Parts: sequence; C-alpha cells; structure tokens
Amino acid sequence: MAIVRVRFDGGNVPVVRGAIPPNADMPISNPTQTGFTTNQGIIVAEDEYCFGLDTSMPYTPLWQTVQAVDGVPAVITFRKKGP
Amino acid sequence: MKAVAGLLAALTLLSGCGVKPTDYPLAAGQANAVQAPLDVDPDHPFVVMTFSGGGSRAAALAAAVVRRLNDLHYTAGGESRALSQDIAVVSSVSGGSVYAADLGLNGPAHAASFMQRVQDYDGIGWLTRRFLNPFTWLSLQFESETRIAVLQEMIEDLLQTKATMAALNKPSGQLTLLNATDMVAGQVFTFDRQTLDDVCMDYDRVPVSLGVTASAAFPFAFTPVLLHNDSYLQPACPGQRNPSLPYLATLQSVSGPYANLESYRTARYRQSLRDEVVVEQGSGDKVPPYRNPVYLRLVDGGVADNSGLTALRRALLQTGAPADIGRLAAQSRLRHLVVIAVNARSDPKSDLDNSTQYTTILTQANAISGTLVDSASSYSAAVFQDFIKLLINDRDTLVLQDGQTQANFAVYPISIDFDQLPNATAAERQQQEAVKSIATSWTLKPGDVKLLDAAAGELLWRHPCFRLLVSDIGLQGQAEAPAIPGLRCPVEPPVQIPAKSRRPPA
Repeated sequence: MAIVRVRFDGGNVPVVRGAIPPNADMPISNPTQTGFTTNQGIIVAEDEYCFGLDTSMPYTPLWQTVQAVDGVPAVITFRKKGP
Repeated sequence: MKAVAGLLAALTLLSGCGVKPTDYPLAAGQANAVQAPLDVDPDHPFVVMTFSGGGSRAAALAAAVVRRLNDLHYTAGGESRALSQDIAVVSSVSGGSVYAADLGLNGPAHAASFMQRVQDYDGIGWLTRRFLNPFTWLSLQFESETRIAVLQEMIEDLLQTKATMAALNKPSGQLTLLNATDMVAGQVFTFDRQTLDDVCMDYDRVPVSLGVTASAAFPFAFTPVLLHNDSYLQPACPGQRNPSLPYLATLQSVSGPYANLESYRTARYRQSLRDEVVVEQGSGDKVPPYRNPVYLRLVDGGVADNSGLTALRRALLQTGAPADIGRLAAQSRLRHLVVIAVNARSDPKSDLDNSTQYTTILTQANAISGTLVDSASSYSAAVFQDFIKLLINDRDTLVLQDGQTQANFAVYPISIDFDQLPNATAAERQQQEAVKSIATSWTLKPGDVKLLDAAAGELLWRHPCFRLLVSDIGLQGQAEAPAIPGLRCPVEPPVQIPAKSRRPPA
C-alpha cells in the first residue's frame, strides 16, 4: 500500500486513471474515475499508474505516470494553464 | 469412506468423448452493466468476509458465522441494526462458494435455514445415484457433457435455484466474488462483472450455479469447467465490453514488472483474457497477449488460494474498483473495517504418520494436493496480513502528516480457524479434533452442523479483535465464550489526532 499525493493549483477536482496515451499532447482516453480528488493523499496499491484530471479547466501536463512504492509517498503536480 | 472412494473411481471412468464449452456471449451491441462503487455509510462498519473451501463443512461454518452476525446488534442513527446488514463484500472458494451464493441470493437471514439444508443434504448420495443412472452415461457420451455438468446439477439442487448472476452482484449491491482457478494460467478467476466482461460474456445470463461449480470443481474428481472466451470470436467480441478498465499502464511502462510483479502478472493475464494489444510507452511497440486462451479450464478455487483472501485483497486494492478502500478512506466513508476470514481448513490425523506402508501414487497425489492447497493459502494469508499492516501505516501517514483526519479508521481482522480453539485439556482437544475430523465432502454426518455452529460461536467470541469491535461499536449479543485475559487485537488502533492536525486537507 502506497500513498500518492496529487497536487493541483486549480482546486479540488476529480482524479482519473487509465492507459498511458501515445504522446504528451493526448489526454487519457476512456479514463476511469478513481473517486479521489486532487490535493489529498490517496492510498493505492504498489504499482505503476497513469493519472489525469477530470476538469474543464485547461491544465498541464495532461497526464502523468507515477510508480507507487510501499512506504514512500510520491507526489505528482498538475498546474492550471493560461491566465 | 469406501463409498467416497467408489464414487471417485466411478467418476474417473465416466467421461464424454467430446466436450461442449459453456458460452454466454454478449450479443451484438450489448454491454454489461458496470458494478457501481459501494455506497458505504460511515456510521456503519464496512464488513468484508472470506469463506474458504472444505465442502459442506466450509459452507456450514460460513453460514454459522453469518448467523451470529444476524444476532449481533448495534445502534446507529437511533436505530438498532444487525451487523450482518453491513456485509459489503464476500470472497469465497469451493464449499464456501455454496454458502456465498446462498447469502448473495437470499440474504443473511437465510443462514439458519441454509445450515439445516446442508445438514440434511446427501450430496454424495445424489452424485452416486446420478452416476449409476444409465441416462447419465448416455448424456455424457452423446451430449458432449462432462462430469462437471452433473456437479452443477447437484449444486442447483442443493441451493434450490437456477438463478443467474443477474440476481447476484446487482450493480449497486453487495459484492459476491466466487473464485475459481484458471488451470493453465494458475490465476484466480473471479465470477464478477469485470472478469466476465473481460471474456465477453453476458454476465446476467450466466447461472450462479456455474460460478459455484467452477469454484468447487475439485481436480480429478471432476473435470474442469470449460468456458469459451468470446473475446476470441472472429472478428472480435460481438458486444461492447466496458472500455474503461485501467490495467494497461502496468504493461505499457518498462517499470511495470518492477513496481509490482503480482500486479503485472494479473494485468498480463487480463490482457490475454481480453485479447488486446498493448502499446508500449516510448517505443510504441505493439505487444500481443502472452497467451491466447480461446478456452478456459476452470478448477477449484482452492488450487490457487483456498482462503479467498487473494480476490478480496485485489477487490479492496484496485483503484477505481467498487470496493476500493483507498477511495472509501479519502471520502470519509470508512471508520470501521471489519475483515472476517472464515477458514474451515482441516488437518485430521493421518495413518501415514505411523506407517511404513508403500506410498501409492494415489496417496501421494492426495497428500501433495492437500499440502499445496494449504501452502498457497498460507501464502495468501501472510500477504493479506502484510496488506493490513501497510494499510495501517498509510492511514497513520495520511492522518498525522497530511492532516487528513477523515482517513482515520479502525481495522478488525478476525480469523475463524479451528486451530484457534482451546486445546489445553483433554475435553478441549477432543472438541477440536471432532470439528477438524469432519470430512471434506458434500454429505455431513448427523450432528456435524451442530458441532460447527458451536465452534463458530466460540471462535468468534474468543477472538480479541472481535472483542474490540464489540466494545468499540457497542455490539449487543450473547457472548458464547469468555474473553482471553490479557490478549489484545494485534492491529494498531486509530491514531490519536493531535490538535494541530485537526484541519481539512490543503
């Protein structure tokens, strides 16, 4: 069991997961709702994940992969895009 | 015993020439309903259970434990509520799956009736009569059926139902995980919405008895359940499988097999069930499934894990899945996680301990299969114990470091195992020996259910984590055994929240 902290400066929005897109310009296709929101630590199984956000707000990057390791909290950060 | 041996011999001789695979493909344009996330009330305990294998002994023990939960009440929101109403997930194997199916179909209130049914039901007699019937031989020879079809009929007769899975695992209801073993891949195969969707099956049309039969298809005595994997229909699955199944990232990334090898293998198995190509990150290489299971041979779930804990752990861990406890903790829905693992494992005395007699192949096969099943189950129990400890550590980190006080929950791991019965005195040892000696069979001796029922009550009330639960949520019920002085539940209680941490997450 590992902890991942998903940070976003645009507030608390739903976190989604899915397959890794072919490039950085494409969002996750057919994402799955995780039931988590940003800016909170989440408990997940030790594994490799691809997370994105479910929001109409422009943000960057569109997705991020993270390796969740038991006992080692990981942090990924998404940022609002534009003004 | 001679009757059982004779039945096994007869079963081995009987087999059809061809084999007709079981098939319930999704129709063109049709899709399975998705299991909705479990809606857990934080004022109620979140109760998850496993029922092990062990024939009718296991089924009766599981029902006896649930019968106790019917009689235990606590007050929430000004109302009295039975603990059995909070059973959210049940994962089962073999004999345990017989009761898991009954629980899913008829609810916990039916436990006492089920126990009576199992006590009275002569499954071995039923099977013997069927196999001595010439019409059965004809059916096996000319209808391309195998011995497993007869077991499925017996399961339907025992459960008195021909219900389909539509009645089980309703999209927003309790989760029932009937587990079999994929004989070729060695993987746990769970009859849930996700897995049957993977093989392009119409979940709602699959008989409950098929899942129970696959879960209880003891190798050699019964042929495997043969499923056609409709993902391999040409040109493709005719229906619309649910697309948003997040297993691919593990396979796409070079770090996948290093991040979690078990998870990687499970994902790879799933890819093979779905017959999908994985596009590797970076190289863009297209990687086909590692095997192409057009047909799946399913045998007793006990071969991979006789406890049911593996499937339960996966169900609780999978991010985005219906019973994901990470989500429940984050959403403040988890305050009391109660894990009741009912294990009807039996290790009766063996004549081999005091004999130099020649060890036949049959004796070896019998002993080794039992040893392997116990070994796999011990491994899954150890992994589950680790999972609980890691979960507790993560809870503490979230609460103390991140100030996420909503993630503070208690865990009560309660094992029901005959080895935990007292055995200090001759009378206690005799009682323990009596329940351990109940054979793994579909026929029980008179009085067996009564013995199992008494053992269930004693084991539950002796357990220190159950005692802690009783005191923490104010459970009312008749104690059936005294608490063991000085014994404490080995799981850390919820963290004490320092005043400075009592703030919402940033």
